[in-house]
Amino acid sequence: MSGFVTYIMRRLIAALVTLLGVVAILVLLVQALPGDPARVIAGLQATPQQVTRIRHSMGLDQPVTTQFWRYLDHLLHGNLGTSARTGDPVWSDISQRLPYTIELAILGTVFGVVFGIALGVLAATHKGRWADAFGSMIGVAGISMPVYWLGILLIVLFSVQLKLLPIGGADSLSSLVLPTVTLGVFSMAVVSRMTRSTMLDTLDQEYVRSVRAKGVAEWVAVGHALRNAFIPILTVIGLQFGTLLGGAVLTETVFSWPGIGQLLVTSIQSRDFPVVQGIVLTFAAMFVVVNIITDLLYSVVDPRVRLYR
Amino acid sequence: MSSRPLSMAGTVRAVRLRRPKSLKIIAALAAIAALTLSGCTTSSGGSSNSKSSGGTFTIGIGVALDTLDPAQQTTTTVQNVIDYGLQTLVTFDKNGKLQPMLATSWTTAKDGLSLTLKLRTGVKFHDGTPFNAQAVKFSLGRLIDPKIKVPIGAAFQVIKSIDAVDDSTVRINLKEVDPNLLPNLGVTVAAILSPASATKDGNSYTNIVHPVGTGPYEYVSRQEGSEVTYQRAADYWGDKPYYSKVVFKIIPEATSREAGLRSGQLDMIMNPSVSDLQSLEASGDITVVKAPSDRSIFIAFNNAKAPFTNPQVRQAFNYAVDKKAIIEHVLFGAVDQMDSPFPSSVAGYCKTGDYAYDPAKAKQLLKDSGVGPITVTMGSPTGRYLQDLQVSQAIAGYLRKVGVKVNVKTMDWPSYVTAMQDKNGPFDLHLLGWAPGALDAPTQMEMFDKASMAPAGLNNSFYSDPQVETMFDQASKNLDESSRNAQYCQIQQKIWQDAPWIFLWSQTLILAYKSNIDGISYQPNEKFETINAHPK
Repeated sequence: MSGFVTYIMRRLIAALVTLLGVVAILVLLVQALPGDPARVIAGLQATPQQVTRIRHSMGLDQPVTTQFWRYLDHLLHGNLGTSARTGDPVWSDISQRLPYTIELAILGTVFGVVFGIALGVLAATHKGRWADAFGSMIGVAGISMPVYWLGILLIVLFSVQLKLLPIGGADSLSSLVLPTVTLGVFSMAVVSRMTRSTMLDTLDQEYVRSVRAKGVAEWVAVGHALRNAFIPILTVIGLQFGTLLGGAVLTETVFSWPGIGQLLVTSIQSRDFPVVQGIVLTFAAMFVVVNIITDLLYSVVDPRVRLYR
Repeated sequence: MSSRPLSMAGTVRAVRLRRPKSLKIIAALAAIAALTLSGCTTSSGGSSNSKSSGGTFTIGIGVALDTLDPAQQTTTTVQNVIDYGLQTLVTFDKNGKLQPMLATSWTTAKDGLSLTLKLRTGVKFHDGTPFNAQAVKFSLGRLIDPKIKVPIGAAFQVIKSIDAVDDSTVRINLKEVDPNLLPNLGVTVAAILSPASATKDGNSYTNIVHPVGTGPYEYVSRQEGSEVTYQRAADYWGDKPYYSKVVFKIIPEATSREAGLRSGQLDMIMNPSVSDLQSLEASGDITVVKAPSDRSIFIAFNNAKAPFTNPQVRQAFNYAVDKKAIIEHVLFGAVDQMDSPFPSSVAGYCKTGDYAYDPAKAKQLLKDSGVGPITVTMGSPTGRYLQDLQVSQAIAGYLRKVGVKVNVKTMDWPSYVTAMQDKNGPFDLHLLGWAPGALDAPTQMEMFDKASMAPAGLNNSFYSDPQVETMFDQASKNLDESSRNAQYCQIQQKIWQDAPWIFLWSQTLILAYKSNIDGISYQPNEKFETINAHPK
């Protein structure tokens, strides 16, 4: 077990280094962007004195290295800064909205995984037949359709024409349906394609043939194959989570979902740097954590996988 | 100007798709599955259509609310939301004329150095405390207190002190003569708050999160990034509204707002895509209103830079552009062509002329000016104003027809702001909008006044004319309205002649709502009002 603890420690240190890199990029990014953030935050009618005061209060008049250490120092004290737009602590803005984004990301992942694996298995077990063609079609469509466009189409269909679901907001469980589907479709497509190809490989393996030769029901054989096909699928799911967070930004805008994706868009438009930095850092941290969890799950799915020596 | 962003992004025409039968079946099946997944809950986003007094009126807006503190807000839409609960001393009618609200009458001292207002009596705040002179002193006092951030509070800096003469009389003492203060008391910045509420419900003197006022609706709650809810105030002093609840839904995407209206989940929306206006109007059950606004849209020349130092060149550009055609084909008729440097809703407006489309005259003027071949860079924002980039490209096309080579350059708004304020920056001319929220001449004149030249202010055309400045100085201190308006008329004529801009149009606030609702009105400063709304 000590090997496992060492492994976890190593992964956590690597994660911290990654996040440190993210912080450095975030601080540099503010410098690199065109336009004067202090001027934009102050508003066009502000006096030069007000602009100078805001620039100073945000520390934008300090050298980059000072800004970096200052940001880290604040971060270690649990302080992500103050929103230039609302004057609230950034973490309070983010923490109010983060649960919405996590809820959407998890549901999107579940949708993508459940339907993706189902479609993939269906396609693999019916190779060359209509179900395979249908699965491929859904896969190609899911990968090619922009999240934005798909979201609007779903709204037109289910809200405007059929009047079944809300166009957006977060009032009821039914308002979760369209954003979840919109967000999950891309993952579903990727997972289904990956499942199909790995299932085709494993279904050809000798042990599956042996199982079949014993005369068991087909679904038992498929179950055996699926378990072994799971590792590459798991990798895809982990990576998809990052894409999902990106997709959440668009999905939240189309469906007026009050998550941090929508907050990110608003903050970028108003050059609210502290909030943008906070959200990007939160996204990065979530991505890192999900990847660690994915790696750990490998050994659960396949006990032969040893992540540590 | 920037204080009122308009989100016009997203012109996807998805709403016009027809669905084939097979798709309908798949869709229905999927919808059933979706409903099952969601535990068969139904949408609560819709509004009640109850015929009796009551029900919810749901409005889709495109702007995220950064604050509900009247002093700290910077956006007309945010003001609009705050206005349901808070009221000002004076207000504007549909034509931009000043009307009593919480003040019933007012007088300016002979020396012009104080303004005395008589207050409405028997009015209570939603928390039950009385509205009186102390409340006015408290609320206006916040605007001149340096402890509080008041981003659009420049007009109130003229206030020296505020005296509560008695319960229903308040006197505002001024540092200098300023007839412009009164209309500014009608802007949401100067809304009156209950002083007792400033320490309750998360409020503090410096930051109001739960506004308590005297309006027809009482603030209930706000879900960050999603919605704000109001309920009908029990003891409202005026006519009671029909709807018992008003919900503002924040829907940044114009297409989603339109879908909300078409699906019946929203009763009214702000600013649908202009390209969809015809289809909305044709739908039969939706009414579209293009409310005149105070926002001028124009192309500002860099008047300090050749060839635009020459008025003949500036006039030539005005003649070269067919504004009528652009309004019809690019803006789908959603704006009103300018015929003065002031929009018609601004106090002191007078019609000054028309640079009718005349490419031959434009060519002649360019030839007479002797400046030779012209190549210019024109800046344009994207998605800030109605069809802004498309408009800029159309204008560039017209200019090319008279021999001017135009490169259109666009960038994100923050970068744009920096670029246009730089006299030696990348733009020779740029598209911009400007709206004096208090519908007052001095704020419009900031665009033409030397004292407001960038970076101190927003006169980004760097236009300066000594005659205009002298006349403006006299007009802004003139307490007699009719002679002041005559002075402003002269100023407008001079500016029109000097052509520091390509004068384009004043934008409209576009409202779309269910045709079975009556009583929706607007003010000409991009604000709507549904207080008197009721089913037909």
